[in-house]
Amino acid sequence: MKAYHVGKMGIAEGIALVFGLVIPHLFLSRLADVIQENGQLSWLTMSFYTVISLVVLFMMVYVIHSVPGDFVTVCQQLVGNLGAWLIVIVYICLFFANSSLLLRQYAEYTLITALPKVNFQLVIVWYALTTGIMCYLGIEALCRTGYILLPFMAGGLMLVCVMVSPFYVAYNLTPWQGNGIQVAVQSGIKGVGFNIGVLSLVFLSSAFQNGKTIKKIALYALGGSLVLRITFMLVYTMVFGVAIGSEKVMPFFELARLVYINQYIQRIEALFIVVWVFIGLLAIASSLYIGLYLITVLLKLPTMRPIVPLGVMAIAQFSMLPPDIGYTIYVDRLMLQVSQVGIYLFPGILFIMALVKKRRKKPCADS
Amino acid sequence: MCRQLMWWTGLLVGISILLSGCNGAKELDQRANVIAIGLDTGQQEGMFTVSYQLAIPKGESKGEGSEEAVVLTNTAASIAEARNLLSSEVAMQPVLAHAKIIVIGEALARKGLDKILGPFMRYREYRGTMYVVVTRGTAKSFFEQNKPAFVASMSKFYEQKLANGEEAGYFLSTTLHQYYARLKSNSGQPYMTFVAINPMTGEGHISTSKATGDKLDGYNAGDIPRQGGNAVDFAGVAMFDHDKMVATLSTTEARMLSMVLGRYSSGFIVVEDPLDSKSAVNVSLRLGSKPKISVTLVEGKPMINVHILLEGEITSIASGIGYEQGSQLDILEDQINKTMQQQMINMIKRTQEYNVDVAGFGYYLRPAFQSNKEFDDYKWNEKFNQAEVNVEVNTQIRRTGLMIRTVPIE
Repeated sequence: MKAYHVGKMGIAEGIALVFGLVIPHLFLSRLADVIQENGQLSWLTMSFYTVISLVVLFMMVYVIHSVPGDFVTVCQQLVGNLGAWLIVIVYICLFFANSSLLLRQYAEYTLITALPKVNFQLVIVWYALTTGIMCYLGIEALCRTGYILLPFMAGGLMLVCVMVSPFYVAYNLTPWQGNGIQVAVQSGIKGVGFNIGVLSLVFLSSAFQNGKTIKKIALYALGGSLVLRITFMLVYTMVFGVAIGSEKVMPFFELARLVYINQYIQRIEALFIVVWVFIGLLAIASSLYIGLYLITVLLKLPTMRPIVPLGVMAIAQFSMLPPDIGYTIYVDRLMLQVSQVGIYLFPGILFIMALVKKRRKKPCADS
Repeated sequence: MCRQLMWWTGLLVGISILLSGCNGAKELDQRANVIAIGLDTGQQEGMFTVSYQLAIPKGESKGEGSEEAVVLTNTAASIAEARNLLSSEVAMQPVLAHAKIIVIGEALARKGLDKILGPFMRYREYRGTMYVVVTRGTAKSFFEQNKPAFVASMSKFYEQKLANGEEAGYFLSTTLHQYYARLKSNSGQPYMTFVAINPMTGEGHISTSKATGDKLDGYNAGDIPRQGGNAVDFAGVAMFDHDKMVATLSTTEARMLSMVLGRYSSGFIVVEDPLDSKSAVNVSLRLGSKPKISVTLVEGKPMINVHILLEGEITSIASGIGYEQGSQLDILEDQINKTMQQQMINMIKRTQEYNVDVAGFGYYLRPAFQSNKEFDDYKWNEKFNQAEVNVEVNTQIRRTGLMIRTVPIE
């Protein structure tokens, strides 16, 4: 067993990993896109993301159980060497891109919200360095840190939702069909890339106890994140309405800025900046880790640690390529579309090939 | 192992020194904290007069009785430029993150706020919880003549004043977020608190005459007959058609609006004694429940039904007639119902006269449509004045104060 094959992680760590990968977009502008596209039915779109990504994950669990070995070996067995390289490289690109784009967005939002006078490159370097250290410490350290943070993140989110209750306008949730059911369903199918992080459970399957654990993790993590997202979405819509809701770059931060309980409890968003920065760092580190892990298994390297600095430098450089935040958000939207390859095409091919392989095996076994 | 431990210890110590966060710190006396921002039309076309009310730190003030705040005014083409100019006027670094209120001059409000309020929603220093008010005259003169009598700090004055506004319902506080949300909702029109400098001559100007059975007149800010204290009045509501102010609601009308919005906390009303028209009965009223409002479409025409439940406590019966019990109580409740109903209808008619749905009845119509497009196509804000309105007020006198009966003077 290689150094990066841990095999000791349980449900709690897995939930933290998936949460860390799928939740950070709540704090970013993707949510404003969802609300603009679907209006009051954004909750339905979110539900589609969850259901479809669960189905895809279960398919992939079937695939990795039908063929022994790590993810690269599974791909090689099912689609050949070239196919495996293609699939793994696409996933590496997707996770690296996610890591870079998250890094850029979090750096930009740190400048907008907390440290307006700090040099941009310094923020990027600081975040990259931190995520590098987290990656270096390994997946167990990452997931367990995430697990410690999870209650604070979920609790903080819920607390803000409760504290802005004086601004609720329940009628903002109507007309209940928003921009139309058809639009919401289509958007739900097209945007599943939102949850591509759940596939990390498949890539890191050897780090978890067994297939049952992975399925349980997926159910709990995606179910929990769906509850959080829907709650947040409903509160956000009640407070801002669809029109203003789709204007905001940082939905959660804007919500936290509205908290005004009395003279003494107000302007508390700084407390929550810490929460979203931690979650963001975990997400960047997790994405980076998965990208590096896939490189390691693809190249059959004995250990991952020496390539961590290279990965860190790569994402830091990529993150600085977009000229402005508008372009970064545009690329992020584009990546969401490209993610469909990773969420529909490859799992579909691998699942079909696994089924075919199993059927071919059966006659031999019978004879 | 020992070497690794030393490495980690060194790293943690290094990080804790780097993260101590003192590099960008500014002491309180190095910051010029803006408490209030005033916006007026400039003398030249396309220019704005921007006034800033800045807090004077205690350590920098000249002792007891000295000014708590200073007003600086400049003329600029935009808010951003005005802020630049402000940094040329003060020695300290201007900080707008603690601004409590935006005061808008009436002339500018009537001209339209679309162009000027944009930066307030986009730039991080401003926040949605800032109060917004319209002042009769200019914001500059409002700041200059605003001398709070009872509150030590100016920021506390604004906060207290606007937070307590809903107590009597005579004005309604509005935050920047609430204004902006209404502006973009298509389901109603925005409103703001109306303020003014009172000449304090003791002679008022009635804006809304008494309804049948009512003993109270409605005033706008600046028209209340009073003398003494701070010259500033917070009274009534400025109504907007999108981003342009079109009219005001007086104190009594603002109270009706607060009831329809479900924001009415409690306040005294004075009605004509139903059995002795020369006398008055005072009742402290509050909302018994959230108002029940429905808006339906009858053959394409909107129909608004408003049902208000009020709960009251008798606080004075000048005539001495025993309204505390039995059928007499029903007579008094009926009198309050009629008076409140009339006042409510008058208020809604006035908003319909200007076709500005400041009560937000459009929100109640939204469930009748299936999609946003259908609702937007209906164009509620253009059809509000065609709506038929039914108002029903139901008052329940729950308590009779500290007296159970009035024994007549022999």
